[in-house]
Amino acid sequence: MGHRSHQFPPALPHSRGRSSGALVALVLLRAALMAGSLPGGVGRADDLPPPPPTTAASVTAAASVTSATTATTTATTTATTTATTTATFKGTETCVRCHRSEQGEWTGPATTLHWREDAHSRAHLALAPTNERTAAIERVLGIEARRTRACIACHSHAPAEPAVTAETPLLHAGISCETCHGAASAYLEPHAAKEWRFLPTEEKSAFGMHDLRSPAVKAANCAACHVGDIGSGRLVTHGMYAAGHPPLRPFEVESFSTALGPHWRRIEAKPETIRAEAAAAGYRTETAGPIDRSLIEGLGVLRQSVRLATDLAAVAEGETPQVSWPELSLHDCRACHHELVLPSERQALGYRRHVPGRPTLPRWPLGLAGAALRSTPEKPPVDDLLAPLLAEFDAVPFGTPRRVVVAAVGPLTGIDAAIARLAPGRAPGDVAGDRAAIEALAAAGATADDVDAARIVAAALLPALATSPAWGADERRAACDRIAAILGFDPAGMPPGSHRPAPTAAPDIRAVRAAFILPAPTSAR
Amino acid sequence: MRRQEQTGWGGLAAMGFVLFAAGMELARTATPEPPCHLEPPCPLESRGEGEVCPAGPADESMPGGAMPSRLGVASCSASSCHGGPKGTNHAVSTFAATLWMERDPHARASEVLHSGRSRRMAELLGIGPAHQARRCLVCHSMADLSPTPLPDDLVADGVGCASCHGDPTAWGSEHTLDAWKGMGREERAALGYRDLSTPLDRVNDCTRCHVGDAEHDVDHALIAAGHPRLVFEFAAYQKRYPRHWSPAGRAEVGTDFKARSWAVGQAATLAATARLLEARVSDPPARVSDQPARATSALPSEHWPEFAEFDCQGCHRSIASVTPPAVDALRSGWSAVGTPAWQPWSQAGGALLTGSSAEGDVDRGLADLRRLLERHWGPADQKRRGRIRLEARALAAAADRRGEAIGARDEVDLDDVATKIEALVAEGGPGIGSWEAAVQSVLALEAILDGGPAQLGNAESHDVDRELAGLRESLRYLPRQETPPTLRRSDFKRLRATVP
Repeated sequence: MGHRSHQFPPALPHSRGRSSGALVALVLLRAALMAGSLPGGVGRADDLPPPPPTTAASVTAAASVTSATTATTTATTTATTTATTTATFKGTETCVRCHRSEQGEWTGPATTLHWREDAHSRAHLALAPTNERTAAIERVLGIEARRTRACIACHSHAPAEPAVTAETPLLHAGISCETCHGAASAYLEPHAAKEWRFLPTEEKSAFGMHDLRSPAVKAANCAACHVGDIGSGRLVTHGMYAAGHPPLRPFEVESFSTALGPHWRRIEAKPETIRAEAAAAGYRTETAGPIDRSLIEGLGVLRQSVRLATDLAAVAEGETPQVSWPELSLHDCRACHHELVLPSERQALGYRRHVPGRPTLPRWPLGLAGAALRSTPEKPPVDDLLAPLLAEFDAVPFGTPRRVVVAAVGPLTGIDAAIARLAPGRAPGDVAGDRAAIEALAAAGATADDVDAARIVAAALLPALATSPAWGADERRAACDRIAAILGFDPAGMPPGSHRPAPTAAPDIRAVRAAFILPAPTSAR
Repeated sequence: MRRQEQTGWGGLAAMGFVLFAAGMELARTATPEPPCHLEPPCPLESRGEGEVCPAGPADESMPGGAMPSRLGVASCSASSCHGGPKGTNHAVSTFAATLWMERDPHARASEVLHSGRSRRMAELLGIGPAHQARRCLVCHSMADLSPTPLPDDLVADGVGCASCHGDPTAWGSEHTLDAWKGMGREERAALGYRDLSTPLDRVNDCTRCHVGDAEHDVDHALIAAGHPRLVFEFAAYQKRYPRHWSPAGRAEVGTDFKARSWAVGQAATLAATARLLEARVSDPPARVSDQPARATSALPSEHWPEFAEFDCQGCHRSIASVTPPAVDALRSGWSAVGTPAWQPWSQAGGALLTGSSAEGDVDRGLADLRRLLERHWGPADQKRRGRIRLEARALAAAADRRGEAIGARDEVDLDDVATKIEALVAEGGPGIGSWEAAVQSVLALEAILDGGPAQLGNAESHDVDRELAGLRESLRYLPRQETPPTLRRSDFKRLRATVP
């Protein structure tokens, strides 16, 4: 079994180079636009010509599936293409038939856990008119959330679902199995076969099942809603925020998904018999250890943020622009939403040589992604990597769409290269490598732009630091406590769990930075 | 520490002035024709080829403005001219410059460019030292009157006599002659002298820096780097201005002086705001570069949308508030959710003035511009920019006409403005909801009640002053406040009760 190729996300089959990639993005966008409205205008699902029941889902699946596969062979490519054109949602009831058992290693209690623990299963309830905030949003925007595609795109597993109400059974809506694992029509039958388990991930992906063990795929999957994804019509526009939609939280994929109450087990946690079987079959699941997973996911989230910028710019440049430019939600919230006090902390910290007062891209993903880049042999500084793109936002307020699309190419390529560097992982027990990654994370925290960036870094850093043999037990505990305390993390919940900040005023960034300064590793003394 | 620093600069400036005066003498005695700048080395200091010698003898034959050789305060403040000793037995004009140097913050306008904050701003903007950057000096010194950089000693004069009264190169000598008295306003203006006798003259002079124009622009980059936002209301500024002239026989004696100042001030401020918009939306922007050195010249440099044109609170608002922003937005009467209002300060003042005159085209122009800008405030193509430019020009012209019409009235009263404010408070409507509207209302009330037509007795006027001061205080923008304060109806009622 060969290594997975880690180009991420790969270009669609037959696409060559960057420009055709942009074209493909446009094609996908057009498809999404045909299927429904982009949320810029908050179109109503029932105002639109009835789309084929699963068009939008197919587009999502297409985007994700092609992201997850690597098109290494013609056969795979063909299979991928087939899957993308035909994959449809089979519905949660289909999954539940097998995945509800409390016993049984293969079928497991996955769905039970998912519905009991995981807030995603209740995502659609936020759209119920009984929800006070939703009612306020509906009033301001003049929409009915549960019939509005822009809302359903993230709050329900399939945009083609009938209208959601508070009475809708949990099994019928919310973020379901297939939202993350992929539309099941193509893999439903094969994956029930005994042989499925140890099929190479490329082949599974070719059937439309997302390779969520790949940190890059997982990050893209989460970020599609939690950052935004034009291809699948998922975007919390500024109008939606202004109407009352809560801010999308900065997030760190690894600890976020742990905090959900996982309904999965990693291979090392599975019974010995299965691990033996897997080894016998030469099956490789995870190649990257926990620290590297966090780093790759950090890059994946940054990638999605850049991707959103370029996709939005492409749509704004289209012949019939469906979004207005600027779409303010693309930018760093705190570029504008900060207090106007003198002396100003922002002015004291400076603007990293950017034009003062011009909105830039969100800064929160840069901390973790910066640490990830620093962990690669090339160690490109994240500011340098993004410089061509950020320069566009300096030159013209909000940038010029056409130029943004072009300027994003270099950064995207650089991020992909870094992901490819990290994805093969390191040998288990690579203490020196772990130590270097921890130091990169600490350095990112010690230079973080804002508290959110520091929080994301801390979420990745603390679990690793807490168990690292490179520091003495007292030293690392003191460092973890210091970081957790200043960021308002619940110490009991750390590590790894929740990194939801305590409801206190944001701490001074300089104090936060100072907390990240680690003592020299014991081994280095 | 800070005080020390200020004292230090003050001392330095004073020293500079002494040196400068000494230099003047030296220049007068030691440098015959031709002007020294043609014949380096200059006795004052070494300067580059072609730079203007500030203190060289004025070449009276040159047309005004060609050589700003009399820009310095020193050319006015000779002890036998305007810089004499203070005394009740002299005309104030003989010690006007003395008063000015002593009291007027404009005299220290360039000093502030050496402060820690100014240094930080210049660093963030990448424009070199603030006290040498034309971007800063156009308002903080008389640099805008000179095509070439001012030497340090002239910069130290701050916003000097010439900034308001006009470059004296062409009229400096004339105005000492008897013939000057016989000259009309236009004749004097032709020589570059600015007549500042009416409130309208004055406000039109102030707006150049205190509102801004194409060359004097406190834009968003400057504010983000640390410059205070410009919030100009002429009557209040004039009231607090340390006067260096005698009010006798001037505009100040008019019983409607404050009301008139407020009304023409609002009209002129709105006109200047509209002209500034026209300049800002023009392409290419006629502005001094504010790009940090790092930004490559290959990139298009573009300033529109200029964020300083819009309501600060439209964007700079907490997103952690308990109420959804939309609710706040509806309460504050914003035009659209998630869209900032255009220049709420000037708009609020202009709205109060509405109805006090019959010139409806200001209201119409304002409404048109609002619609145009608030519906789509983002990047604009050439066509759209052209429309904004036209609308702005029309509004500026209309506001200018309104200002002149008000200025031409025999008597200006603001009864209808007071009625309007009362109605706004009574409604509790959105108009008074914004900080800008509230502050403009209080400042209007100050202009109306402060020695206005009500002719209050001493005790009563003391009560009114106290309540007005209370209102002002209640609107102070406290640090760390999530939303700015607004006018409380109960406070207003207390004020109302004190006015007979």
